[in-house]
Amino acid sequence: MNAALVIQELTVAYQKKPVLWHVNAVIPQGIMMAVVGPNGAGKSTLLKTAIQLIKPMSGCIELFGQNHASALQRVAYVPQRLSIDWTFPITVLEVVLMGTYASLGWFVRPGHKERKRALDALQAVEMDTYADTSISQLSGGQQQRIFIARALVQQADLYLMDEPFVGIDAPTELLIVSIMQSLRDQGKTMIIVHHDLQSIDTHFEWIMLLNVQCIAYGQRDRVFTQENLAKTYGKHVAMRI
Amino acid sequence: MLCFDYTLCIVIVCMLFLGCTAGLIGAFAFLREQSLLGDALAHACLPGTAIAFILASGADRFWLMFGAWCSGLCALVSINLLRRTTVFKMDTILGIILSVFFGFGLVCITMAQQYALPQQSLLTTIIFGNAATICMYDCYIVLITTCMLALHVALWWKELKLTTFDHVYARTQGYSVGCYDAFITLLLMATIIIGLRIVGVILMSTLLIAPAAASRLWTSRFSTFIGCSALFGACASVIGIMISAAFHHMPTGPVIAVVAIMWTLFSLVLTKGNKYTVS
Repeated sequence: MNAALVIQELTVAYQKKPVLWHVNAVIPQGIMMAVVGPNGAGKSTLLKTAIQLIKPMSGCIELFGQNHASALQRVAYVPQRLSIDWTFPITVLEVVLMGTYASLGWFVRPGHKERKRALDALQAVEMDTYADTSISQLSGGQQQRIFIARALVQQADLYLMDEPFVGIDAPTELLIVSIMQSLRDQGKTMIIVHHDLQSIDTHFEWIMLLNVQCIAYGQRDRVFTQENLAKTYGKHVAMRI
Repeated sequence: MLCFDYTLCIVIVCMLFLGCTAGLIGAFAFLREQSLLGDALAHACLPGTAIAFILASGADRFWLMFGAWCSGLCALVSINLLRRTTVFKMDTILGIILSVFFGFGLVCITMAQQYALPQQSLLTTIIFGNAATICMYDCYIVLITTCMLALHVALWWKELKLTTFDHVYARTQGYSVGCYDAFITLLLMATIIIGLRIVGVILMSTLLIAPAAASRLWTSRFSTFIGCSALFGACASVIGIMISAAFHHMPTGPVIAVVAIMWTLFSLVLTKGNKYTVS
């Protein structure tokens, strides 16, 4: 079976300042992996490079054994919640339906089948009663749920999520984790940028420690050690965890 | 007293479609936070129009529009260049471009007035607008532009909705966001150019912004927002024209702008300006 993601000698720089430096990793399919590291470690950049939003300076990322745009159709990206204008005049159902657009051709609008898929996804995130609600009326947790619903509608094989647990309540976090675990059990791959080291143990079985360079990646028990945390965050932070 | 003669009917039909087009494209510009871009482009059309007036030795419609296009494109390129190569924010860049092009345009108009060319008054018309100069030819141009815009928006409805709402997600879905951005910007410029002689450089932006702003106060649904913006633009234009025609010495552009703004203020009061509670 092909790996979900193969990162080879990846270097990314913003205005000549390296954000990722010679990163190498092979991420297998059917796992749930947290990408952790301090601010400015290049976590979000790694996801954006994987979906070709950012062009690397050198190296490459292969998705399911391919490095061209067609593989992107198998990827669902959940951006940071605050990257969106939440005053935009649009309903919850319309946002979730956007996840079906790529599967439709030009000039074709979502029909009954797509609406059914979108409503099912909303039901999965317990937001089906909000289908006709304006997005400006949602709380932070509800906003994150509709992003997850939009990703679910895509029926992708790889889910890249940029800090999905920031600013959300505990029930929403538990719901999102259970959805992720269910997707993993179906053989889907989850790569999640995560900040909270305390919840790593309960949520993830794979970890990538990143601080411009890839410090370590692999199964939690092997990677989540004081030594690796000290390399990633510095000794003082590692001692407290 | 209002007399519905043939000329007034042409003007009303022309303004109906122009207001509709401005409301429609203005709604997309509003959501893409490009309302001030429309203002800057409208002002930037002035020098091109004046230079074309001098070079074509008078008021040839085609050359004036061509001049406005060239001038507008120059402004657009300058805006993109400044955005990529400087640390200036967009509002600063638009302020610079608007002032430079409008100032240069006024200098060109002063120079043009020194030549004894026919229809000199048309140059000042471009600044303040005058619906009395509308003819059947203008009506056809506005009609074609409106139909083209409506057709393209209908065909690419979902793509425009997605790229306007979440351009990062749109790119991950394989959409060429830059193409849709360019498409909206070019349509914005086309609308401005066809509206210049009627509404004027200064007030064209009002016709783009005010209907969209009013529409946003009434609805939180994308399709209703776009439809209402087009409707408000058409209504404001027609009502403005009729007021302008009913009273002597009423300038068309300012009257249309006042009607559009009055409706926006009225909407603000009626909806209490609370955009978050409307569903």
